[in-house]
Amino acid sequence: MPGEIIPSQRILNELQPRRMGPWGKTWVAILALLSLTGLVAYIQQLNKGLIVTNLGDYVSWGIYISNFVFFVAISLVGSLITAVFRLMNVRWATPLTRIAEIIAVSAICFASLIIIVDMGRPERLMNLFIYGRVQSPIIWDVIVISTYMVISLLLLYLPLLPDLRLLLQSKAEANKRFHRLYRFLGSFWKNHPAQKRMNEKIITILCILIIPVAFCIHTVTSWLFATTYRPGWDSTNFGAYFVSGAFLVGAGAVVVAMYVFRKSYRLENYITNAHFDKMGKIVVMLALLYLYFNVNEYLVPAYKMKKPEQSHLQNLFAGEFSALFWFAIMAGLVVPILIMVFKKGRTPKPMFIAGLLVVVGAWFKRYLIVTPTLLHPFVPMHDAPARFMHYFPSWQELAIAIGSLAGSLLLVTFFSRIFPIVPMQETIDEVTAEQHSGAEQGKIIYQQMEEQHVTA
Amino acid sequence: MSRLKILILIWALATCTSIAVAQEKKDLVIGMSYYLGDNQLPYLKLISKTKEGKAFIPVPATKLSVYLGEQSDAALLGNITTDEKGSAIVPIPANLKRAWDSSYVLQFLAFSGETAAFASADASLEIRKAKIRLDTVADAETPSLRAAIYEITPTGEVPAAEVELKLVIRRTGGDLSIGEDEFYTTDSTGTATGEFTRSGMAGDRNGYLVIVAKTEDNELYGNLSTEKKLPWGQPPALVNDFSQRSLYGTRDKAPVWLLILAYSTAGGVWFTLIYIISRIFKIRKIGYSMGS
Amino acid sequence: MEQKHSRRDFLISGLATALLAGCTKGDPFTESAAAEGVSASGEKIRLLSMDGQVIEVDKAFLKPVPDVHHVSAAEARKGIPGAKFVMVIDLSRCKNLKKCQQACAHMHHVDTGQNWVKVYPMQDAEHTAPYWQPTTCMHCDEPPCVKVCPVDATFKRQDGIVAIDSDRCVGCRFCMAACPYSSRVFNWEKPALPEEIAKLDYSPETSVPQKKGTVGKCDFCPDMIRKGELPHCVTACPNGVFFFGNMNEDSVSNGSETFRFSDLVRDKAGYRLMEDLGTKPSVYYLPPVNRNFKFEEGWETEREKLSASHDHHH
Repeated sequence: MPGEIIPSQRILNELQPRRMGPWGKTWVAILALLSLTGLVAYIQQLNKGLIVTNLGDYVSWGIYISNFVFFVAISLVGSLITAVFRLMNVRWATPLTRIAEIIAVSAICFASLIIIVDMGRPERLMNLFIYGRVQSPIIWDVIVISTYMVISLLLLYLPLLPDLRLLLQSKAEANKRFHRLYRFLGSFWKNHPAQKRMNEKIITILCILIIPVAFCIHTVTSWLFATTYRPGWDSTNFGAYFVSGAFLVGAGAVVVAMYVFRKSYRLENYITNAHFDKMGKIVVMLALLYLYFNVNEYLVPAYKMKKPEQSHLQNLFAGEFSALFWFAIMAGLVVPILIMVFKKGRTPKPMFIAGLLVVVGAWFKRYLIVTPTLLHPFVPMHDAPARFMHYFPSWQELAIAIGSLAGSLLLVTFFSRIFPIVPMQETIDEVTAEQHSGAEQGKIIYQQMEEQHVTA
Repeated sequence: MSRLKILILIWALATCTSIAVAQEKKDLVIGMSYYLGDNQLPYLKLISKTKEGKAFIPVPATKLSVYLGEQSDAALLGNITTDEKGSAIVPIPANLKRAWDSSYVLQFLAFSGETAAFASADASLEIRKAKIRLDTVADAETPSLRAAIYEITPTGEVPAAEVELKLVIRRTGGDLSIGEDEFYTTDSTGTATGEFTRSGMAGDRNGYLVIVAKTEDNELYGNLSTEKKLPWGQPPALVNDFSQRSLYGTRDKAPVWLLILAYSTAGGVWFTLIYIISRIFKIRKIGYSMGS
Repeated sequence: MEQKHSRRDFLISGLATALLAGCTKGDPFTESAAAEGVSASGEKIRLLSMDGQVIEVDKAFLKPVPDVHHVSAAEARKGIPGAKFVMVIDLSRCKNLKKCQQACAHMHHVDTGQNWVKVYPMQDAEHTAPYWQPTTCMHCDEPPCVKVCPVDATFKRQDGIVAIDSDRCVGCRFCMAACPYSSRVFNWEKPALPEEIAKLDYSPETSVPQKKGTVGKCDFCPDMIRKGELPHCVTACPNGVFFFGNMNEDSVSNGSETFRFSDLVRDKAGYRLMEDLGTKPSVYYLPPVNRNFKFEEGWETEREKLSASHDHHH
């Protein structure tokens, strides 16, 4: 066909999904085991009820909910990398788009699952659709999460179409067994200019659409808390606070994923040091933004010290939760900023550590947003069973929370086994464009590839 | 230590135990009160209870036999079983007409047999037949009510003096006195007068209040009561926003602004999404039309 | 507005009406019985009137508390027409006996340890007087819990009661987070209920039987109100702390004393909890002045409870 660019065989070979090595298999086995443990714990919860948790009438929301908020937060990254960068024509981010999107899809799937886990009567899930009342922020969350899930899936799927064609054309033995799936998903993609034009257009529309929806998903999730009177939740800052925190943890997760994929799939040609450098700057910016909202969130009420806030804040700053609180602030915000603000820190390994700290810190931060507040009700805790006066998750809760995290990683891992984790066609297009025009965009990839070629 | 002492100790212990066994059957207390509403249908209310610690607790499912005048089959008012609150009601059956008509001091007797848990018990109650009447006072400055109690004797109705009674407005949960005083006492003419000072009380739709005159567990006459509907209240000012649209209303009563906001936002996004999905089908169509 | 009589009073006035109607044909009770919601059994017995007349009366009217007709689900959601229920809690009379709590938990079969009525030892500031504060559900007029319920499982009725439909509740517990009064409790496990209670159909009027994985709370006992009786906590309190009534009738009663609601709240400077939140509770408090008991006396109950739970664990 005239005008069709001949695929660069090498890019094709290097970006093709590959069989898992022993490390990969171990990784999958561990994740599967953790997920299964979570499943077993959940079956127990289904039989006995939420009594298997350590939740009580005061702390009625625990790590299920903080885990849910964490998943929702992490899923926001899909819109950041894919949509924002695509719309701003930031080409260097192209190799990261699919990583971001699969993390988003996986996180939003598990966010929906974990919220069902938290329900006292999961078998009545349909009541939300039969009797749903639009005055409840939960219904807004249901609407906005399902919408975000559809948009994320589409944003994952549509850029995949040209790659599916490449995969089908490829003779790689390792992926033969997926050909039926590839055909089912994308046999209609013929690289026809009309198809390309149309696809380009709807991807652009989706990129515009996903930004307000992504803001909504996290703002509405913050409203589950901010629409109550509780100290620590009753804040007009909450929407922005949650969105900025979500951008940060999402970007942190992408940094971690970049490092892991680069290492395990030997993608040094595609996910380059320059990518880490640029992502590092972005993470620093987002961390500073989140730090700014944190200062607002804690300093302003602490300055006033209204009575209901007092015990809550003291508990965070110097009480029962202070160790966790300062860990989340230091490890999740300050240390990553200090690492990545220096050029040397914006290289793969320090970035990986900083990214991990961001993600782990963010997980505990969500726990600190949900739980300590509930231990400080307006009327003192009294005339209730003693076990309700404090909270530490039961093994079932921990197993389910860890299982859900493992499950989401498993989903990402399986996806990367079946589909190219760095877009093939787009990379080829950019490299070719670089070869033809010598444009600035894509130069990094090209140069890197040249270097690699020489050393090889 | 002598053997004798030990023997005495054992004997003392044994005695105590046997007393304890004998006392295991608890005492049943039967409460009996007489009621007459609007001078029409007399009945007895019985309560079976037992003392536990300092308080009485009701004993449900107690079988009681209640008699008028004497303990005989002919004078049986009824064999009844108390409900879960330990209470039961006994009216006067028609076959006791002769005994009823001929007695002016009513003697009620109640018996319960021995059961597995309780010893047998009995109770008696003596009531003089009486009626209560309630009228408004015609020429009073403030609206007033006059209640009168008459004892029924073989020679006819005789005013009952020194009887404590209540004049109340009927209300949910408990009746409200018509004025400052809680109790009124009848004078030598058997009447007691009370001023109605509760102006502006909410009544029924037309402003009517139900005023009740009653005696409560009077030693001689039991519980007599009569009532009158009087236009001394006001139609209630019912403020109810139950049917209004609000954030705390039911789903069919969501505020209009919220509906517009929610549906337009979600509708706009989903309209675009449906367009995008239709484009995907178009892309598919183009692909398939090219053949494989 | 229909005057709600106590059922005992109804029995008598119903019969009186019938007698006054004289020798009417058929059953003279049916009409008034239907109006009051009591269903006839059809079984007649012959009784004597005060004046020795013989009359026929349906057996159903001769119970201490006649059976009230079944309240349909739709009725239970709408509530009792014309009423606006209100509670007044007199803090000067409370010495934390917790009889209210026990009666409530017993009658609603609330799981051990959890309580719908709670009695708090309160002290607003270091140098202010401590006092015991019983709380029920506040039955707010702008209930934050109802606002957030995603499925109308908790709802506001026209009589002011905030009730729960445990057959619809999905167990999300958002209402618990939203309630600033900590009124709501959750059935974390299958409630331990006697078999005959567990098999009953749930009604928001009785809040019985509680169900696993759903939220429960004080319901102001609409079933008792329909029977012409006071809520369990009100009748259980030996000190007459709780007053209950219909605001549209401007009257509240604790069973032995009845006050005009507006007078009581005005004269004793009644107030509501957390007025600044704008929830508009239906429960009013009378301040703890001229107290019947010393605050310290209330600790006795707490100690007994503690030692009881201590024994229970051994």
